[in-house]
Amino acid sequence: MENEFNRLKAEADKFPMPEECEENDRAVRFLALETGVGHFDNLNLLIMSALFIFVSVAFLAVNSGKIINNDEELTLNRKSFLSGEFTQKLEERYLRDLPIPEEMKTAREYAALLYGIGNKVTEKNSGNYNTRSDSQPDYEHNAFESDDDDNGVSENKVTTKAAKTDKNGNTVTEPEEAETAPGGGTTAVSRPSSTVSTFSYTTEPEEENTVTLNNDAPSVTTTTTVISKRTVTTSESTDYTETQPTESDITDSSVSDTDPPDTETSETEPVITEPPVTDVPAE
Amino acid sequence: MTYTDLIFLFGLFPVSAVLSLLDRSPEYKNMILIITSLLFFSWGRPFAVCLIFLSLFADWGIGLAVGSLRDKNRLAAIALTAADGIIALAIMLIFGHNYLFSETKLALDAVLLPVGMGYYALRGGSYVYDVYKGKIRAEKNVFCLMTYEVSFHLMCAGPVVRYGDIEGQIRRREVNTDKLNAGLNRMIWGLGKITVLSEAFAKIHAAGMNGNEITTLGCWLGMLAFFAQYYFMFTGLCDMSRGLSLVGGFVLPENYRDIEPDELFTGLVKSYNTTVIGFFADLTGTSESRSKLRTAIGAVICGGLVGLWYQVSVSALLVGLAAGLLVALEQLFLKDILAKLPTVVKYIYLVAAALLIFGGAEFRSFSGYHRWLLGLAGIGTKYTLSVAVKENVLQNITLIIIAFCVICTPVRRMITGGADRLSAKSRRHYGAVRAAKTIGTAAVFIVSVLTLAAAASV
Repeated sequence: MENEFNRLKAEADKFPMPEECEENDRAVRFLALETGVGHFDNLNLLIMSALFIFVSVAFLAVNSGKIINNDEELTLNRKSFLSGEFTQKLEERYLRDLPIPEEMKTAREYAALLYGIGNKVTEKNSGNYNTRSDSQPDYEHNAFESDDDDNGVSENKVTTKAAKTDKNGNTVTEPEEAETAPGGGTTAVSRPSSTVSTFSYTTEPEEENTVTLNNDAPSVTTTTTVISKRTVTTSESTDYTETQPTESDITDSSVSDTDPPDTETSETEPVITEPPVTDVPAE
Repeated sequence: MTYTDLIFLFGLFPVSAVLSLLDRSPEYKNMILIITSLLFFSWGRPFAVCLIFLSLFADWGIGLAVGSLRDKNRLAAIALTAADGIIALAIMLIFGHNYLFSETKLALDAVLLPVGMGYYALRGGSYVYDVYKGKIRAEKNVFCLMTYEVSFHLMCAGPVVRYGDIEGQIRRREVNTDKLNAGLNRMIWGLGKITVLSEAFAKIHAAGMNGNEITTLGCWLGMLAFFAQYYFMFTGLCDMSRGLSLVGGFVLPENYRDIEPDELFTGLVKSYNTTVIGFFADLTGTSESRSKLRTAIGAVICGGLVGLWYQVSVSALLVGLAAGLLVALEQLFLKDILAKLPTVVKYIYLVAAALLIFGGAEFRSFSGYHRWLLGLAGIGTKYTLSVAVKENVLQNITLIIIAFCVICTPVRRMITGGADRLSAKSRRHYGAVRAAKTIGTAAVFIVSVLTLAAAASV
């Protein structure tokens, strides 16, 4: 047996056997990693599944505490199902019952702090959430359609003021007291009766301003007016009209001069007088 | 119902996934899939169920007839295929592009309109067309065809899967942990693309393309944001679709692939919604043609058809034709000239061509497009940058950087390649990279859910 073994060994020595090569090492490392892949994949799957199940159960089982009226009770019958009413109400109820809605909004705002610079978190439990930002942009998207629509320019049409930076690269800064529309566009305000869209937001805890945009406006007219809600609702009070000094290189003075001050008179509402068109000055 | 509805994500989808895991037989899985898909499709719109059944049985019956007639009576087979094509076209126009009938009796309330009718019609039409071409056999089992046509995996977005590619999976498929893991990850990243990235670019787009404050940088950034918004929306939906399919055991083809500068504009076009373009290229005979001229003509026609498929309007048709024309020119002679240019120049060419051609899809009138073109050069604009654009860019600057890394192929490959090299060093490094991926995916999931819930909660 020993001789046989020696004979085989001698025969094997005649052929050059490969050393432990780099490929071999790599293959061993790959196999080790493959084993790890399985572990980490399972761990990943476990975590994601747990998250999914947790959220699904929480959204179904945890109630927001809002009271559901009896007349909104779901009734499944042929008519309600075929009309889509049943599924619609079911979804409404599901969304209404989402747990801790205010906390989720706050958490979303905190998450948005990571998105970039200048995001803010509103005061907790104030109910003053940034409702304007998510699904509806601050500006009506018109992709330059206004030029066709503005042939017959209405006297009520105004526009948002455009920019902070002029073509020469000079920064046109807004004064601190200038009102800003939601989203940062400088204020454009018109008569409430002639509005296209209205944003309401609270700048002070007990004071509400109404900022109104009419996006059909010609791009030359810029008006800055701030209307306090209190003054609008009280007929004897005076509107607070904010007029900024004019700077010649920004303000389109010809427009200002040609546009007469708009005045609307109502028996029940206060007289709202707009000043000549002005732009917010630089500096 | 859509993929981003909370009631789907955390109601219907988990129920469907769990129920289909209870039994291994494909018949059972198909049954669960059909039931949940019909619920998905008809949510709030039961009328849509009737539509599905009518068109589905029409496809099934016509498919069988075409299958038996194509060898015996070619003309009858052609007529039947054309009839099915007309049915598919009618469904797509009436339910997918109902705005065309806004003042007619066919006008429907938007609430009643089912989702994804463009893709649905393509699936039905492509099935009968493939039977006619002899690529597949006519399906005798109506439930297999039903699984293919109504599956919610394929409902909202591409890829447009041909029946021949998925028939085997309908009859036999298995769900394992690898598929579940990959599917959930892909779905979550797709959700993040839609809810976070696409929304961020939507704001910049709206601010930049606001006709009331046209600025030079607004024109550039607004249009780039327009592209990014829809890129992330479509790729996100497609990722979700593929992820959902993986969880259900299906493996679908890629619908969006990396943009390679060497492939020029032709590659750019083909990288976006690849399966839809492939279908129309097949329909026009472009993919099989060996003649350069015929391919070029087919590319123009195909471009027009794809444009109309997206939206039935003059601007969409013109955009499609223009894209097809540039592809045709590349096929004829431009490719040889442009191929010699450096990579950076090719990228500039791609961005410029995409801006000029696909930018037209944003405008409904030529005057708007003209104003935008002038605005790009600073003509007719009073200011360089508006407050709204600046603030929206700054408020989303982190997301913009992330989006750039996702879209820009060389940067993304550098990052993923670095991660791969790091994980190959040792098991510990590998674990660290995998843990980081898991944490990242979980973070995207949480942020997406918070965003959706905050927006949806009453």
